[in-house]
Amino acid sequence: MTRLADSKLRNTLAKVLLLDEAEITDELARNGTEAWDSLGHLMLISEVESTFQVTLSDDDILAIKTVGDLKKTLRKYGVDI
Amino acid sequence: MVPSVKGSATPESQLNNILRMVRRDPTYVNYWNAYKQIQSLDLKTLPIADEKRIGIALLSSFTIEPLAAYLDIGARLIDLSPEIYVGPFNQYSQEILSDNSTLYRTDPDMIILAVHAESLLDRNFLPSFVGLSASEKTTNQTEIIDHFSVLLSKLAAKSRALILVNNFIVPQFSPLGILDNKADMGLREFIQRLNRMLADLYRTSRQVYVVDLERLASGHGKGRCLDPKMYYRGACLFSESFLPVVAEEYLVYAKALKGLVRKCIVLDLDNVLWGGILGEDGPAGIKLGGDPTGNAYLDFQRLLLSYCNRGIILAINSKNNYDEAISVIREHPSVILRENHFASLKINWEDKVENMIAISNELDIGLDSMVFVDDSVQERERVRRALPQVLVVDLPASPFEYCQSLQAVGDFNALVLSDEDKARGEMYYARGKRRQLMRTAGSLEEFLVSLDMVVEIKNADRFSIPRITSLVSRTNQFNLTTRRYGQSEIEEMNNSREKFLIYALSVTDRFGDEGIVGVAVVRKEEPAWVIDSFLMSCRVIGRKIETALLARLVEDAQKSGVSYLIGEYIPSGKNEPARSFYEIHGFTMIQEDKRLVRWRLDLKTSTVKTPGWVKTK
Repeated sequence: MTRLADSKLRNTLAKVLLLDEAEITDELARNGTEAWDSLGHLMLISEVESTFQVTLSDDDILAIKTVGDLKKTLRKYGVDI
Repeated sequence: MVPSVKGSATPESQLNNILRMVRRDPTYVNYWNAYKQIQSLDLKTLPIADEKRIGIALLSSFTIEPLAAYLDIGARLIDLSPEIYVGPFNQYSQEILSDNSTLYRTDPDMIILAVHAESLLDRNFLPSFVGLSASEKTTNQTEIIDHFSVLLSKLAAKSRALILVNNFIVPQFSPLGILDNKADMGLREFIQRLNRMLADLYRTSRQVYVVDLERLASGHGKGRCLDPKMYYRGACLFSESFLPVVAEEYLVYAKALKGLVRKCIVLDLDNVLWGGILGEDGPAGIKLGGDPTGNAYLDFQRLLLSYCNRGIILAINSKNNYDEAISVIREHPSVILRENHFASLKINWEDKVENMIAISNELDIGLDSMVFVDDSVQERERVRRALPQVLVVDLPASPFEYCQSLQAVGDFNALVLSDEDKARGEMYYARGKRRQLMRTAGSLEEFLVSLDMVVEIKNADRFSIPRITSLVSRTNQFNLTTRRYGQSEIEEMNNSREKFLIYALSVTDRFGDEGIVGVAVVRKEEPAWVIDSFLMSCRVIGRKIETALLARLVEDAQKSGVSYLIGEYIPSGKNEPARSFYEIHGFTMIQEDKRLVRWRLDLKTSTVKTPGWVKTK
């Protein structure tokens, strides 16, 4: 399950952030990733929410600055990742 | 940098890979990804024909980039080459009203104004609605309509673009509940009337078109059109599922603007126009009216007749014995579509692909203007593979769904519908009769004489301009330069007579009135007149009346003391029939390269005469 969830997330991140899946690391940050602008962030959150059937709070959405943050937040919502 | 295109050499192959990905898996995230990736490609070096280019500007009161993605990729999937400009968020008024905004500098071909009603109404409009008096409501409406009319007049004056403006979605909710239509203008009626006012304002405009967003929303399901979560988070109004529906509608206008219109529906007979197999069930055994299935076929024929009556040409391509099939079409009491509704009848045992080509030649209509309707999956696949230009309808298995399936094809739309368009179906039938005469007449000249053609050539006026625009935007074969002008451009040229002259030629013969079939645009560049555009409808190719139009240009040029007439030919890949036009009429070539050939006629020493078989009015 974890591996499937991880690969889904990786795929979504690559698609929205216009990166190679191999380039997706936990350290990858909004700051410095061109496609991760505010609309990109919104798109990413919305895709992730529908993939994992969760709805993130406004504060959680704002607090996500890296891929690691995103995963940590998803775990908080019960996603096994 | 990007997964799906890594290692690809040229921008062109990268582009194709990206589009292949979207085609394979048309999800929202893939459209977004494709849109963003393509923005980073260097496509400037690609050779793109002008007829494929389309500049689109999006102006809106909400975040419209997701729609831009669907529009951009949707256009590329039908082989257009869009350049999309997205106006700054909710600054459409400033963009429109300031003379030197980026909007005007990008000089788009199409401008889309998408404004939602809530953004125009006071924040307290909904809570206070029940307490508003009828006159306060009317004042609100007038303000909104005035706002639009100021913006759209400015747009129309500053830009040559086709302007699309969304109407408003009538809400499901009203604070008045079931009493909404008991009130003196309930909330739903408030919006319905706004839509009515908007439509009335632009009913006769040939530049501003009101996009019926309300209709699209109803069709899609009102509850599914908007996405509140995305709206509150990022002012993205439309839901993921509604975005492609809206983009598709805008593309219908884009296709009409670029002349990518289908003109002819080619139909199979058995299990398409009637139920059953004529050869097996016999004329009395086929299903046409009488029972549920038979009624479905009858309604399909009625739908086709409604298309025929607005100018779509019908033809038959069927494997059947001709005599059996034609007697059903002529004599079956329930048949709606009779022989005179079909421009061509290919009822034989030939290959259907060969028949399609024969119909295309016979009617002088490009394969890319044809739609093929057949119940056999094999025949459809065969035509689709052999003739990719033809639009093949995926007819559903059940005849109950035939009408819906054809109604969903948005490729028949033109931006103007003239009286000639409406009568076109019948005109093609008359043309078939002319061809029969041609077979019985001896020489071509004898045939042309026997037609008793009378030609009338007039300068464009407000009555002829819609038809002229329609010819200019879709004539391909006998079109010397294939320059496409919209109605507003034609009007503008026609209003500057010191620089331009626009001629329209109409013809009647013993079989009927063809209406306007020829157009010429002359650019005055003393001491010469340049023939900027010269085209004849494919309906009349081969009847040599183009010479009559050219003779008139020569005559008028001589009268106004011009020394030369310059003719231009721009090869388009489709206008081969027009290539030797100027040569045949005694012009001398003065310039030739791959993209343009120029010809000159010295008016002091040469002239062009109207042929003997054409009388001029």
